[in-house]
This record gives sequence, C-alpha cells and structure tokens, in this order.
Amino acid sequence: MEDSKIIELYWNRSENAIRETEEAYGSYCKTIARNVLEDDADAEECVSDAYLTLWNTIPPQRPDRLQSYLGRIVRNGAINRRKARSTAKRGGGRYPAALEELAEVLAAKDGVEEAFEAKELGRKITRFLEELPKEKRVIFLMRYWYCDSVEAIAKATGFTKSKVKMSLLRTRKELKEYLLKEGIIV
Amino acid sequence: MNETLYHALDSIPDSMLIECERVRTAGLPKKQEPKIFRILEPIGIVAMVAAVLAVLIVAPDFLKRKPTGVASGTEGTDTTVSVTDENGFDFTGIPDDLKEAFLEAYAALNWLDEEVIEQLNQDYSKQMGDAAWLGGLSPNVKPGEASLLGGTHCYGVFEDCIVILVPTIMNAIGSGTVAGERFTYPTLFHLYGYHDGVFYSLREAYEKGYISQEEVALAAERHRAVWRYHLLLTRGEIGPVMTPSGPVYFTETTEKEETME
Repeated sequence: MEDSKIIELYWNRSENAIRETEEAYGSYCKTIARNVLEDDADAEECVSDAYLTLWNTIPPQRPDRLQSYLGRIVRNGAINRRKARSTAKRGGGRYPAALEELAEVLAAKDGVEEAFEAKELGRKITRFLEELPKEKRVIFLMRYWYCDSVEAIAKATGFTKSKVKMSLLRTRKELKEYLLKEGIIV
Repeated sequence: MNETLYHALDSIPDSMLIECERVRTAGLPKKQEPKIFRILEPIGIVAMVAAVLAVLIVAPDFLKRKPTGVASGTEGTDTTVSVTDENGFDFTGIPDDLKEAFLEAYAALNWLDEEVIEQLNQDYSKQMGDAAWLGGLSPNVKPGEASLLGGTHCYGVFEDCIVILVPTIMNAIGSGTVAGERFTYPTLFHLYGYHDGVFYSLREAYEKGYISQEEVALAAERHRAVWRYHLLLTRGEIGPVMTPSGPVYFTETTEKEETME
C-alpha cells in the first residue's frame, strides 16, 4: 500500500493502519532496531513502541515520507532503549559501536564545544555529506545512521569489506578535517 | 558528545535517507558503460561468432588433439602447455608440498583493493617520509619464488585495525611477541597496526585497544602460514633474499630476538 493511503488510515483512526505499516515497513524497522539493540526481543518491543508512537503522532502529523519518519522513530527509540538498558547494567549509557566509532573522530582532542548545538552540527554534517560522492555518502549513512554492519554494507554495495572499511575511515578523516576547518572541533 | 552527535545525525534530510534506503534494498546501480563500448558490443559478438566458426571450419585437426596434462612437457610437435589454477598460478614443476604451502600462505594473506593500498601508501609516506612505499599488498606473486615473501603483507583488516608487516633489513631474522603471539620472519621487519590513518606498532595498537587479543592471534596464525611456506621453500636452510653480503642461513631455532618498533 502507498504511503499516502497508510497515512490516511491513521488519520481515519483505522485499525488497519498498523497492520499495513507492519506489512510495508516491518522488516525495515526490525533491521534498524536490531542493528542498534543487538537483541531480537528488544528489537521487537522497540518496533511495537514505534508503531504506537506513529499512531499517537499521526494525526496531527502528516509526514511527507512515512518510511523515513518511521525510521527516525525506530532509531530514536532503539538508541534510547539501548542507553537505558546499559545505564541500568553498568551505570553509564553506551551507544552502538558505530556511533562510538564516529564519536571518536568528532571528539578529537578537546571535543566539540559544549555549547555547540546538535542542530548546527547536524547542518554541518549534512553539508559535508552533500559534497561527498554518492557511494561514500551511502556507506557513511548505512554505518552511522542505520548502524549497519560492515558485512551488510559490503553485501548491499557489492564492495569488499576492506573497501567499505577504508571508505569509512577516509570519510571520518575528511569529516574531522572539515569540522576542524569549520571551527567546530579544535 | 555522543548525545550531540546522535541528535546531529537525526537531522540528516529525508532525501539522503531515501537514497541510502534504495541502496540498502536494491544495491548500487551499475555504472553505465561508456558509449563506445555499447557501440562495439554487437561488433564484438559478431567477431566472436566468426572466430568460433573459423576455428571449426579451418582447424578441425587442432580440436582433435589430445589434451596435455600438468607439466606434460612436449608431445610430438606440440608446445608445452602451462596449466594454471583458478587464481592464474602456474604450478608447473612445483612440488606438491610447496604448492600446498604456497596456496595456504596465499589464502592467509589479505590482498587489498587498489584504493585501500593507495590510502595506506599515502598515510605511510606522510608518516615515514616521501620515499616510503608499501609494495606487495596486491597479489602479484609467483609460486616457487620468494616474491610472496619479498613485499609487504596484510594479515587482516579488522574492525579498528589493519595489520601490516613491512620487511626491512634483509640479512637478519626478525622476531617479536605481541599479546603472547610470536611473529618470526626471515628479515627484520616492522609489524604495524594501522588505525585511523596512523601506523602504530602492532604492540602499541594492541595496548591502545585498537586490536583485540583474538585478532592478534588470527594475524599470527596467518603469519605462521607464510612462515611455513618460507621454510619449505628454502628447505629450512637458505633465505630467499640475497644481499651483497651473501645468502643468509637460518632455521627456526637460530632466530635472534629483535625488538619490533
């Protein structure tokens, strides 16, 4: 079913809305949740919560693109859930390995200025990504937005694992240089 | 920082996610061949068909000849036929044990893409000086010769670390231990852990946590396969790399301890 029709179901408060969403994007959502949480049961719960959030936010929202909207809800939920889970266990929140990997680059020596807003950093990262060749941008986002494994990226792109790793390494370096140049990290 | 970063990534625009999602589900689109190839393709097919017909009509005797076997030498007026395996290696005249050891060593090494090698070389040169060059990371090797051992080796592209061995002084045996794993080689060598554009000694990379104990063990196992090939190739007596000072004699027990930098 098309996105617009699914969204109409939500607006009409139809019980079929969630079923159609599950059919269209269930596996997409589960992959994102599993990538972040690394636990099937947790991922299932996270996706169910995401459907509930969708139900509660549409209406009033009318997303242009349901898949991205839902993907963001799942990713947010999964990261928060993971953080809460590890906080309870170890007394400190931990993020998925992919984000830790990226944070290492951005943290540099003195880190990002605390006052620097995430939104502004997001804008800078977006601008940086816009300038990248498509292949590199896709690999970067698969790793750091979807938290896909290197193996999964290699499979999807048809590149070798070493090429994917090297592409990530290069992009992280370039991003670091870009952020240094922009004065975001010092 | 993580919090900021996480929220920053959350603002990636939909258009980029859509582009990414397409690749995740359908893969990268194939690059279109240049127009000239598209024009030539039908011509190539016609030429191929013509060539096959020419062989069938003009040279039937050729097709009736018995196939020659591995290292079969000459038969009548036939020329010796080289037999190569699926990797393109010619094992003619290579003893079976050496062939097996070669294939094992070859399989143990990580052969890197040109792009990766280029990046490694750039970073290596930046760190070590302009003249530095990491040769041998691509599979330009010949069985039965020392070329497999002559260049730089990659023992693994791990999550946070690429393990690279760079031979240095040729007339001495090098050895050293990292994370309880012993590395011995027929030359002195540097063993690096490449992380985030920087070549660390493997020991340092291990201490900094860029490579795990298990990964070092795997790299050591791969290294041992290369070492075994080397021993077999030289029958444990003579080093494959000659220097002006003459051949180097060694066995596994005569190695001298060298600290790896």
